[in-house]
Amino acid sequence: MTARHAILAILLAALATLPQVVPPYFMHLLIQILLWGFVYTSWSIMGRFGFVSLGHGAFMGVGAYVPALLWNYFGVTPWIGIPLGISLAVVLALVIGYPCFRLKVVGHYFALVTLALGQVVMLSIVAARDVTGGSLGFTPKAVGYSWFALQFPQKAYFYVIALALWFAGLAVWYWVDRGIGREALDAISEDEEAAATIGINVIREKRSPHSAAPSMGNI
Amino acid sequence: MAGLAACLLILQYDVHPFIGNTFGPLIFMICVLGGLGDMIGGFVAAFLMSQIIAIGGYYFSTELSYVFAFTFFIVLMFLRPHGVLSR
Repeated sequence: MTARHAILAILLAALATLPQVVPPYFMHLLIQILLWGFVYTSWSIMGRFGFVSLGHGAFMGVGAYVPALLWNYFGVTPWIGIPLGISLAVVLALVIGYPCFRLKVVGHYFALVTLALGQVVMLSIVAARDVTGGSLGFTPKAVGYSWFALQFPQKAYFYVIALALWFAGLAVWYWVDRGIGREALDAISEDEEAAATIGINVIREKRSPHSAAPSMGNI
Repeated sequence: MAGLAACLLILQYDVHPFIGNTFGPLIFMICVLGGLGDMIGGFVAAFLMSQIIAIGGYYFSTELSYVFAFTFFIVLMFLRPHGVLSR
């Protein structure tokens, strides 16, 4: 175990000193890799228990647009906006997930329901183009360097945030793995598994998109 | 049969390598709504969805009509998990 710990410690030290030696484009790539790895981890937490969802983008969209809209229109700091976005995405997941598992909509049908959910969220955001900018996207207002708004001129700050998020994602994965563990594909244990799984993965992947948005806006 | 449908469709839409992306999700919905493997169910579901899209597009904007169609699909999946013509 000690050899493994030593290797992990060396890797961590290398990752921590990376921002100083690496040009900004590579930093941008690394941040993208870490953020998307975080998102995929959250998706596969659900996938490994047999609940393939094709509509994960719906939760990402809600989690990204809620803090961005709150910041641009009301000046609400992302420190409050991001947990708000997370809780709204969880509510959405429960609204869709709870009837699914009560009424036994599983397998192929569940995948299609989540696909429909993804399309509904995307089309609703595009249709409300006066508020959300429609297909053109939505950039948060830039205020330069500010902890209040979670915006920074150098990418190193975002790198540290992305790294912390990625580790948090891995920690959640290990927690789910050790805790529930077996592939509960029995009809009996499916119920509490499923609702819990949708909730957990939605919670974790919310924080990523808002970190991405200000980093894009500050290039 | 899909080829025949595509030939009939290009009379109204243009032809480019990414036509499939426009129709993909909608086709999945209609097939599943009709029940997987049920021909008549697919027929009924196709008419159902197209009427909702057309009428919804008349009263609201065109994009919102698709939102209504997909929401209808989700609700119907809760009510009839195995397709509209199942028991």
